[in-house]
Amino acid sequence: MLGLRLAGVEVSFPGLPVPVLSLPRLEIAPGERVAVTGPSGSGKSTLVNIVTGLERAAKGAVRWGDVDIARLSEGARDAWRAENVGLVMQDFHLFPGLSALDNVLLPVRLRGRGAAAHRARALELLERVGLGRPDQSVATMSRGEMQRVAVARALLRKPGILIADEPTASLDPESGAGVAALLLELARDEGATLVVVSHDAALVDRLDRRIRLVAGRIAVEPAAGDLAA
Amino acid sequence: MIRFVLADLRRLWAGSLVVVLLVALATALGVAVTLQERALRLGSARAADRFDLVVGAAGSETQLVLSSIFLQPSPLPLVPGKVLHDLARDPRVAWAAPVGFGDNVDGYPLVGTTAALIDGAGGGLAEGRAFATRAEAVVGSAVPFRLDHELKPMHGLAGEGGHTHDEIAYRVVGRMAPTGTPWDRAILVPIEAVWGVHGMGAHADQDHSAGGEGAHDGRDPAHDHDHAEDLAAAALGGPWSAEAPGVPAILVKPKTFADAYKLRGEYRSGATLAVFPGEVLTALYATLGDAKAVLGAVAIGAQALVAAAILLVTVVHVSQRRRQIGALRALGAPRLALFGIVWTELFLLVGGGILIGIGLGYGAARVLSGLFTRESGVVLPVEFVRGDLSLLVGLLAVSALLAALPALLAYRQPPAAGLRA
Repeated sequence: MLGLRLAGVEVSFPGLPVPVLSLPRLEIAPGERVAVTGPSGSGKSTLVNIVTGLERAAKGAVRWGDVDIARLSEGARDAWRAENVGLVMQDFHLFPGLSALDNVLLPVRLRGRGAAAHRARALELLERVGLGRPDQSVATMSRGEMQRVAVARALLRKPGILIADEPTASLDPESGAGVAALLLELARDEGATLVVVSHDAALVDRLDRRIRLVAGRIAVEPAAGDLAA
Repeated sequence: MIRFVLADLRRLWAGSLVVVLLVALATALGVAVTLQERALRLGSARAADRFDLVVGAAGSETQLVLSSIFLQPSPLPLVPGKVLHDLARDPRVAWAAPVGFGDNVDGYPLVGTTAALIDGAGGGLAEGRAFATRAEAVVGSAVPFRLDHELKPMHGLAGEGGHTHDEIAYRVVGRMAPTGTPWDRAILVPIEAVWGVHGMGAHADQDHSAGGEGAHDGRDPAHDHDHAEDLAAAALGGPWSAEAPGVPAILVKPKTFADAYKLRGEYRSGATLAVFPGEVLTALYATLGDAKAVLGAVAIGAQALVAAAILLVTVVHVSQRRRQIGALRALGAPRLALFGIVWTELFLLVGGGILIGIGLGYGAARVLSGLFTRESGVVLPVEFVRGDLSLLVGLLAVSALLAALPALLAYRQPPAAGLRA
């Protein structure tokens, strides 16, 4: 379980007059479940990239626990991300031709870690997300099932942080609700800090806190209680 | 990782197959050219190996060797019988055998000579016996006539039309062991018979001119009287008189190396020409080498084009896979793993193509050599040499380097940019 402290983060792209993301201060407590919303182009994806270390913040500090990932080299960020972040993406990014189990194990395999040590956990996770056939090829799965595989994959190494980028956007409402429930339940059970970028009101409403981005800045940050109102 | 690579290749099997085939064909082209040229060299050298010295009338050295050793049909000027007489009696000569061409049986060249060539040019007798009279023949291993078969020679060089000689028929009395040379397709008959058929023998001379008397001086007096008796009982294979009829070429086996050089020197002046077949082949190989250089350049050009095409395809392919690469990075895959995936995929395809291409090239060279052997009798040995191994290693090294370029692109690609695409 890791908490996040952003300070003075500013991301600019060459040719654009204003920074795409400007966050003087943002804190997320360990174990907190946070929604990030905002219109497209408001900097949500950039925020995900910065807090996962996919992109390096040239300005400011991005602290998860005691580690400022903005100071890490690219290779070190990859290693840190593999260790600490579980990522669920809109397009699943499963690899066709591999079974559900192999997809779950792929990231540890590519890091050269023994997959055998993770096998039992992978099977258990697949069962927990409701998939009974770990050997099924992902090419034959429904979209809802695919996203469940992706959730299992994200949790394999017991990450302290679970980040979901539009996890329900490409699913029908029913599967979306199922995946949303899974994310909340598993983040709690696994003790992971949860950050969800979403337009899905049903999902956003079930989170502790909501951060709304507009033009790269935090617009309003209503308290959890306000959401219900 | 290898499991991911294999799953990926299975998914992209059509494109992978095209890459493998392209590489295989380009490699096969180069391999076939190299192997075929080497086979031609080795095969012709082996075919000429057993002939030390060829003496003919002044003219083209190449033509002399091609006709007398490779039995390629061509009309050669004749050397006077005196040369044969002198060589046969020369103490430095182990044996000297005339070769007279002109006729064929069903396309198999008829060679008039002496029994010495059964061992000297053929592989010795495999069955039957040597010819003992004018009307007998010994066939090469690849000639499809059985013992006791009667051969009706056609006038004209093999491969040309001509009329049948009714005046003589040969009976097959022996068959030679295979040698892998054009002599496997030859039919050996006594040179005296060829002379006779073409009106060059003693009898022709006797019939038409007084000059013929001279030709008889060294012979059995019986020749002068009875044609039939002569056919049956002539002493074949010399000794020949100085007035013996001319022959197109004489194959000479000198006793020593030194003798070979001395004889070559002596018979290179005036009306005769003496050559070591190896010498002439070396000159031919120089020409062959030029042709090989051209073909080799074409093959290398083709390979370079294929390499460029594959490089282009893979660079495009890697950029199309930006999302996949970005996703793998997002899931925590190290950059080296992505380099490894792209490099392994490409190297497997290209390396596999190269290996298949070597097989294809070898097969093509074998087929071509087989066709050539059927036509000419020369066995072309298609074989790899140790040097080919370094060529293979070199090719694989180049493909390893080529594969590294798109792999480097994958390595350097920022993951966030890939995911956004």
